[in-house]
Amino acid sequence: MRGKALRLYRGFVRRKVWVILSLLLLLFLLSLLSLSLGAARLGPGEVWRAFFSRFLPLSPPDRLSEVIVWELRVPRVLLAVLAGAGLALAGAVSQGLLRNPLASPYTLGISSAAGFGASLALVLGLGVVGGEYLVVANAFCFALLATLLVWALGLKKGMSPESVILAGIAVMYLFSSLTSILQYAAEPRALQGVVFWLMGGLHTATWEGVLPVLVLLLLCSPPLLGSSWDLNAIAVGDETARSLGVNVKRVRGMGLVLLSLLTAGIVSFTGTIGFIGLVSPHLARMLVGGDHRFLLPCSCLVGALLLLGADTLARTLLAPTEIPVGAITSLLGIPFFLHLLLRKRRDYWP
Amino acid sequence: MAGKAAVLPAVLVAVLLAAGYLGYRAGSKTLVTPESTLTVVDDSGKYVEVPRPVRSLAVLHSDAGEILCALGAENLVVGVSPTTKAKLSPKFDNVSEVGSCSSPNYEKIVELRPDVVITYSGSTGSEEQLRSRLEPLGIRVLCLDAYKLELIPKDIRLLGLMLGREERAEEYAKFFENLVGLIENRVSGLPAENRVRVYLEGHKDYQTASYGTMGHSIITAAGGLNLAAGEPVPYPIISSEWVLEKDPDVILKNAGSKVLPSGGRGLTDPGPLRQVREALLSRPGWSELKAVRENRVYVVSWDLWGGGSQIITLCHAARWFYPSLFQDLDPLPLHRQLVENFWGLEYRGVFTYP
Amino acid sequence: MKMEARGVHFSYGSLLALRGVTLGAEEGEVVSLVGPNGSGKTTLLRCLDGILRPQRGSILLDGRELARIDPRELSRRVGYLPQGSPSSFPLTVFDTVLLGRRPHLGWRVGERDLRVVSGLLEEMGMEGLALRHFGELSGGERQKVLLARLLAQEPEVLLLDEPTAHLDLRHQLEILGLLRRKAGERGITVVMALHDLNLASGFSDRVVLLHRGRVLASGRPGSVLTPSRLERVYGVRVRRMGGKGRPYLLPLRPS
Repeated sequence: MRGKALRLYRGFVRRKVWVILSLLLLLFLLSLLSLSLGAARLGPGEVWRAFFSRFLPLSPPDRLSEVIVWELRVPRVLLAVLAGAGLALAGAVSQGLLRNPLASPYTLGISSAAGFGASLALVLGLGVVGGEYLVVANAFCFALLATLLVWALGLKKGMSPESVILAGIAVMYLFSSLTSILQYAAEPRALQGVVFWLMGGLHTATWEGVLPVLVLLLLCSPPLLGSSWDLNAIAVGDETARSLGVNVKRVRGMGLVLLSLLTAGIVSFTGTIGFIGLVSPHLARMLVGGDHRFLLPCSCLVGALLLLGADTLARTLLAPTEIPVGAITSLLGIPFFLHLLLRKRRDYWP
Repeated sequence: MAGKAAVLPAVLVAVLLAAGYLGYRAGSKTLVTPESTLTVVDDSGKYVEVPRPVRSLAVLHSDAGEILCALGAENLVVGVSPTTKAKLSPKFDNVSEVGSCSSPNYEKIVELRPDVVITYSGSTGSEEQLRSRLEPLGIRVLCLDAYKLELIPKDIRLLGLMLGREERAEEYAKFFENLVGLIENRVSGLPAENRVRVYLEGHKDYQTASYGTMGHSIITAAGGLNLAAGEPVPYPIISSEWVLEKDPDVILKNAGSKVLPSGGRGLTDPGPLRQVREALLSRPGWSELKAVRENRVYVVSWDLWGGGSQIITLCHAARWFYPSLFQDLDPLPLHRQLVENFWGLEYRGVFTYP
Repeated sequence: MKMEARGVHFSYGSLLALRGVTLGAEEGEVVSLVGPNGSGKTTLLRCLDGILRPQRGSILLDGRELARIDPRELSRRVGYLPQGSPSSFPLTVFDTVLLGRRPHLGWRVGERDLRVVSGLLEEMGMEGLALRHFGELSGGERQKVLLARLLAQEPEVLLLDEPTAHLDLRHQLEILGLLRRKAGERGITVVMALHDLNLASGFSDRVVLLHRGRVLASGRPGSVLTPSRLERVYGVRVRRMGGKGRPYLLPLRPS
């Protein structure tokens, strides 16, 4: 019988690697599918020619399909993938750091603060910079302000998960009530803008929006992915983690700041997209278990798949009318929540 | 094996980055080059260079759609917003939908390649976004705020100029200017103490309108005093007590799309409007109000609170406020003229009560 | 002396928890800390693990100040099993035990780490549970997994806070037996807080009786656990039975 546990464990790890590889393949296929669907009546042939003419020596496509594919669809698909991955990563890390299955970047007040910043720009035209990036910059700055508030409040209480969660909820309510007041004072057209922003969507995706999100993801994800072992240790309890040499206070503080930064950047460009950050880590946990070395990359892939799938539905279901993608992701989230609630097994969370 | 798992997203990101860079360096972007151009100033104060004449337009709000119908230019419209389509049916029934001002469908607009896209100006961010995304492709963005009564004649003339239909535009613009001028003339001499005091209620119960809103402008233009003019937010929710204390001379109520899905079009019986009015009268204590006792409570369909139709609401209001001054002003034929002669639609329905 | 506390004072705000505690544990020695609730057992263990830093006095490991030892090195040499870990978290048994290897590894798991974990699970008869989730296990199995996690750390000193709380008789004996064996075979020093005086008497080389943050007595179980002392500390009359070395204590009633 020697080595039975080892054999079992090796098989387990191999399975997880396979799951992750399959998700990656699935994401690639879904991206291709999503590229070929849209409000404009372009055949798959035209789409592919326009797409691949940038890489391969093909005959040049007509300007229309080139513009639609490269200026509209590709940035949108990329933003869906990047935003989905980023929000899911932020969600998985926050659940791990706070040992709470209901934690998400939104329960930390980030999105409600971003919503307030955006509303301020939309309703009163007030903001840190003017012009086209007024709304985005405002949303980002207020999200950072919320992060700072939660972080400072948490630090005052020794960064215990409970204190961070309570601080996050307080900040969330603070900013959402401020947003309500602004909405009350808004002109109907500004109000419509606020409502649309709060529902979230990717219809505003441009290359100018994709690049900053990409840079943020490239900056924030390596340290977050690198904290897998610390997150595993924290799962067993702060004291155990500390005795294993993990500086819990620092890991939690830094992790919160990084995941908030990532979320702030994404939310500024996409508006509030519900449930991705909450649902993806849970789905990933069902697929590969709770070991953060696998959970974090898997969450990224699940998040990217979910958001890309939801956005593809959002822009094709009633085309050319678009359904707010936040509504679709939330609809995806509710059955999941019920499932989680009714789940009998205790292999999961308390 | 754990290392591999983490490398995967990195590879994915690198692939995306490469694709993004290649995409970002795309070459020239202009789709169409016009031969001759005209530079106009739109309602956001921007100079917009449009081709002359404009051959195709996409319209993101119905206020511009109405004007285009009045100018006989509906065949130049290649894309409309869903509400424009519904409001001006059947004019645009076979025209593609291209989203609304707050969520335009870029892909559809690019596919349709209009010369000009018409939207509202404002701080909603969509205006800048439309410009930055469509203008590199040679599609001009024009902001027309024709939901404001004072801007309607100017916008009519602007579109007339762009489309080479100045004569028709002049006639349509005069329709508005003449009526506004007539009413202004007759009420301008009224002393403040003789002016009627008006409570306006939106489609939501107890939600009124303060300074700067369309409702306020109409009441003021018709010579009335808006009781909520000084409230701090544009659409304040007030208490019933406040109304009882203020005791308005006239009450105006907007019947929303919940009770009046069609806006009153096609209606032969004023039943739904009457129900709205009866609900108002049966509110506790309201039977004591001066407006109720003197039978001066009026219900107006939501369809008349916006775009060109608001001129009809203005005419109604003037007559309700000062019946002796406006004996000769009958809003119903004017409404028929607007809908049938200018827009070319069938005029049938009940829009006000009583 | 493997691990030593010298005149340790610690207070949580105004609450004084330890008032000058001095004790030592030799290599391979099993030391039990006993005393009523609030006598300072847990605080002392936390100080010994370096989680809490004493306001006065010092902790020495092999004669070196604990505060001067790099946290990473400390986590390789001293292991701590706190009381009241979460009853469920989304990790498998193998992953949980593997966590004990964290002080020894970088991001990657080495072959030796896997062998240590697998060996421990087999030694404790839990190889069949390797892929079960922690939350699915019984209370006794959970405590054994957490102990395996501690042993996988391969420390020189084990600190345990109530390792047998809420366990049935068999698991109590299994766990304490395993600790004794490790102490004897590998020369590991074990310091644990215990509530059950009979288990402390039966499994320890030395018993330290704490009372209100002070060491009241320290020595062989037979010399420390006397009825008069226990009555003074716990306020309970106790009948002492059995041999001089490892007495058996039967509590009678509050005095």
